[in-house]
Amino acid sequence: MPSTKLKRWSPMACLPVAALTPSGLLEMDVKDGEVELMRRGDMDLRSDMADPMVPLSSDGSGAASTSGLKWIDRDDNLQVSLTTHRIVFFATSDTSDNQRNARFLHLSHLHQVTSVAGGMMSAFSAPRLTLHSYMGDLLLIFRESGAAKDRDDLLKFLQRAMERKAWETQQRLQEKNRASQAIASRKVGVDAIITKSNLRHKEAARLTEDAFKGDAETLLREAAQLVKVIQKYATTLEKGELGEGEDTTRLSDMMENMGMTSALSRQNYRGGTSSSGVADDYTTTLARQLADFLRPRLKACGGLMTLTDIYCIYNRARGTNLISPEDLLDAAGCMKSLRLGMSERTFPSGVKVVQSDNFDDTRMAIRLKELAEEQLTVRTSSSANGDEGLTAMQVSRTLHISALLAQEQLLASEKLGYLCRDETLETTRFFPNLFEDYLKQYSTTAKQ
Amino acid sequence: MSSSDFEYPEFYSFPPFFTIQPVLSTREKQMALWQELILRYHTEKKIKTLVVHDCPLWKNESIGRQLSPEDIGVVMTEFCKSGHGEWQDDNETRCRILWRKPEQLATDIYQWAEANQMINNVCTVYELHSGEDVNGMSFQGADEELLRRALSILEDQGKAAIFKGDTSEEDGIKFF
Repeated sequence: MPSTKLKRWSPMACLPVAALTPSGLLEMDVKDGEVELMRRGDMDLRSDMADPMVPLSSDGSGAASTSGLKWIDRDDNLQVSLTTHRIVFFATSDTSDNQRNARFLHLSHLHQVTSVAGGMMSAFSAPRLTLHSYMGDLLLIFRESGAAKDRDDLLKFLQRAMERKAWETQQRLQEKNRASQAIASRKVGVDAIITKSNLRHKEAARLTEDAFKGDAETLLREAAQLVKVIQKYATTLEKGELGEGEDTTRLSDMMENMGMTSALSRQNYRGGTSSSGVADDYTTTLARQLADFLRPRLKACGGLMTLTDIYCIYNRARGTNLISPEDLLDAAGCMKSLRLGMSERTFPSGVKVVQSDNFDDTRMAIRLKELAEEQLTVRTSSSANGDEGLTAMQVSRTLHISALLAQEQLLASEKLGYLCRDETLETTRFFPNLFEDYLKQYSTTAKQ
Repeated sequence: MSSSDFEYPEFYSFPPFFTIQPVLSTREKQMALWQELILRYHTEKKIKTLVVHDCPLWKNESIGRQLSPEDIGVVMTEFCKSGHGEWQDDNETRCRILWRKPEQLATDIYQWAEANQMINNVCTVYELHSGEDVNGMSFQGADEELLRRALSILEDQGKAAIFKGDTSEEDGIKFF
């Protein structure tokens, strides 16, 4: 449990905590159709009230003690992310335990947003927005160059999101669904089935039409629902109404890889420090997203995955707004510094992989040695010639990894001294490294 | 000892033995095994010279593995480095196998001399490698050149003196 002891008493500490994924990305309310709209960096959040605000404990359960702390009315250098439901503030400077601090303000708690132009007084000339919320007024100050445009963008998005009240549409949608189900339930037999399917088709048609008719923003909003339509398709398939077994499993496998809640492109990101050589915001966000995406998959395939494989499955999952190989390289490169539990690794042959931090070369080498030993006992028992030794293909089949990776693993184990090789014209086979044992044996027989 | 009953060690049927290992620490052990094998093979069979293109060790028919000519070169170079072999020609086709290094041989000879009351006595070089008294000794049938090197070591140590006979084989040795 996080300690409820407050470290700093500032406006950030007085907002509810936003749930993050293990990689430090904003966790969105998928059921409620929450979609990320835009993201900007380098902002200050300041309280515009005379009295200090009431702080929340870091687990969000209640008020925290402010004893011994002084009220600071501002938080500097924040990242702001706007979703259809919330405005989320990220503290850029990570805390000691590498957990990003993220707090949010639900849009339903805002009643008005006003833009304050850079005034006459030079000290307050930075562009700013005033968020009038139930908690009181909060000032959002834009520090970056081009701040006035950022301010206008954010204001535009914010106002539209507030107008749309996405958090309410979900409820209305459910009511509507219930209504159409009621219509269908009044009919019986084949009629009911036909009506149900008609309603479904109409709904899907409306979705696609809306999605492509409107602006990009509407598309983003509808994306979540489109994914749902496809998933619905998958469930129909699983029920066996369509197709043969293999097709069904293949499609559902593919569907499992879907489900991205945020597929922002480079244009939606600004406010990093791309010029200063440090990884920019887009790259780090992509790295975090990748880490969340890869964590279960890495576990399933033994802790290693080539960048090529990752590129394919990740882009397949995104569906739209595909990332470029360069983006992937950049993101993989900054995984280590973000301490995401995985990092990039280049094998001596130049093959690049993403490797989970708890992957252990030695453990892998021992596993491969055991495999090679099994292979050797098979040989002696059947006394068949030529089939002994472990090939990359066999490893690939047994451990369910790609042949390329299998080869790299074999070479790594050889380097650690667990295996040795037997090169023939057809292929290279690997054997447990028995040279040391043989040498001991042989020199002791010499003494006798 | 008959020439056919040389017992091949287990690792001689280990396929990787016939591939030069790329990993250094593994290769060192492999080369040590090769040295032992070559040395034992020639010592037990009392063969003094290894003819590179005519050595049966390079190929193990029963597992279908053999060393390539380059690999043989690597193995032989390592073998000579260990001090147990010397090239007899510049083309590196024939290698003298030093069953014992000259230093070891010198010690062996002196021990034999002590055990057989040869101290302060004289014997010939011929007697040393083909005489009746040396049966079963490490220098029985030893290469004469090698033997002479061992003797000169003893001479340097002041444990023996060599004086010329009519032929080189009749050179005499006196042990002190």
